[in-house]
Amino acid sequence: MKNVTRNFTGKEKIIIALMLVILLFLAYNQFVDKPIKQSIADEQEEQKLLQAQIEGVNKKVLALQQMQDELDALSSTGETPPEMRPYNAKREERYFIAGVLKSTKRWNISFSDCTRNGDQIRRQFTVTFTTETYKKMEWFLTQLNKCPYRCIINKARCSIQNSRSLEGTEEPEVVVTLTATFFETMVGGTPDADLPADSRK
Amino acid sequence: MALSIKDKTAGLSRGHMPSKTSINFAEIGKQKSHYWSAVPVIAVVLVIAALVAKFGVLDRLEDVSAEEAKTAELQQQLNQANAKVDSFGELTEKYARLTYSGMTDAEVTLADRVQVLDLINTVLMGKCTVESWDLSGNELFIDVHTEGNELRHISMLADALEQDPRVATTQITSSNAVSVSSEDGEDQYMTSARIKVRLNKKEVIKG
Repeated sequence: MKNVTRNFTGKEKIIIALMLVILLFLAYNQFVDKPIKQSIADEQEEQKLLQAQIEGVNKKVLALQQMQDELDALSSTGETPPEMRPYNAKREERYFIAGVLKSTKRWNISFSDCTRNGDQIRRQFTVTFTTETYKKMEWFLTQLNKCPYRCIINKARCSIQNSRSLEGTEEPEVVVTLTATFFETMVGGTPDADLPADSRK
Repeated sequence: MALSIKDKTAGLSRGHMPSKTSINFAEIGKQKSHYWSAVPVIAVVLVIAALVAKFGVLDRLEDVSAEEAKTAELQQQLNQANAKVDSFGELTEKYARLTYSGMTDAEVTLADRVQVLDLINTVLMGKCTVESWDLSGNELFIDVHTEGNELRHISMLADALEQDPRVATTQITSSNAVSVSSEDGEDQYMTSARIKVRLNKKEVIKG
């Protein structure tokens, strides 16, 4: 019986050592290097997303800060305009107009369909009214001007005329035709079937 | 493999017999190695292992930790920014309701209508008769008449209007004088005019 056990030769040892090194390298690559690279790549990807989010939120903060500054500036000057009501405040606006028109002698009012431009709603109306005195006409316009709901008088035409009374006497009267707009906002407003399409789109 | 020679022919003379009674060919040429000779190899292997552990594993894990810390810091920044947004509450709604956002420049810079009435009252009333006025945007047309045949009076009215800080410019667009016969038979003159007033724009804070 032959006994063949013997030591590795030098070449064999070198080959075995090389194979061991390659094996270790592969194991390192598979179980250490790759997971670490993947972790770093994942973290960097998440950082990019976070940075984009931070940028977006910071822009929002800046815009909000500017809004706050503008509100502060308005309140410091005491020139805060009347409140713009959320859509749809036509009922309150009509009640307001009705209250003011009571002071006039005759009136005729027509409302246009509201228009929408982004969040801005405009509700235009035209009213012709007659008052006995110039003072009453001034009172009407002042009331409309300081209306608690945002309203601007676009056009107004005032003329002092003479009218003949039932008794046949001439009496002066003031006739005004004006076009004004109530402003409402879609911010906080609830859309309904009357809401027009956005003219910006 | 050991060979053993049991002499069956002990009686035979075969000359000199080898003194060795066993042999292992595998042992031939084998040099006896000492354990101490492995020390340098082990040391080299340990040094390489330490270097790999340091630069290939520990340093890399530190890189991962640094990236994780950076991510955590960004997450914290995002949370702080979100908290700041939340701190503004319903500012957007308040802003939409209380500022001029959404309105056009032409709308927000319209001259205050009450101030227009005040302008007519303070500058014209008592100096002439205001027949009518027509206001559109920041343009005001006023129809007036004065007694006498004097365009100068109308011109003075226009000048008085222009000196008011609420007025940008004035212009007499038309004027005429007519004579009216009075009850006592004397001719009385009346000068009518239309004055165009360009009002100053209202200054507002608009974002």
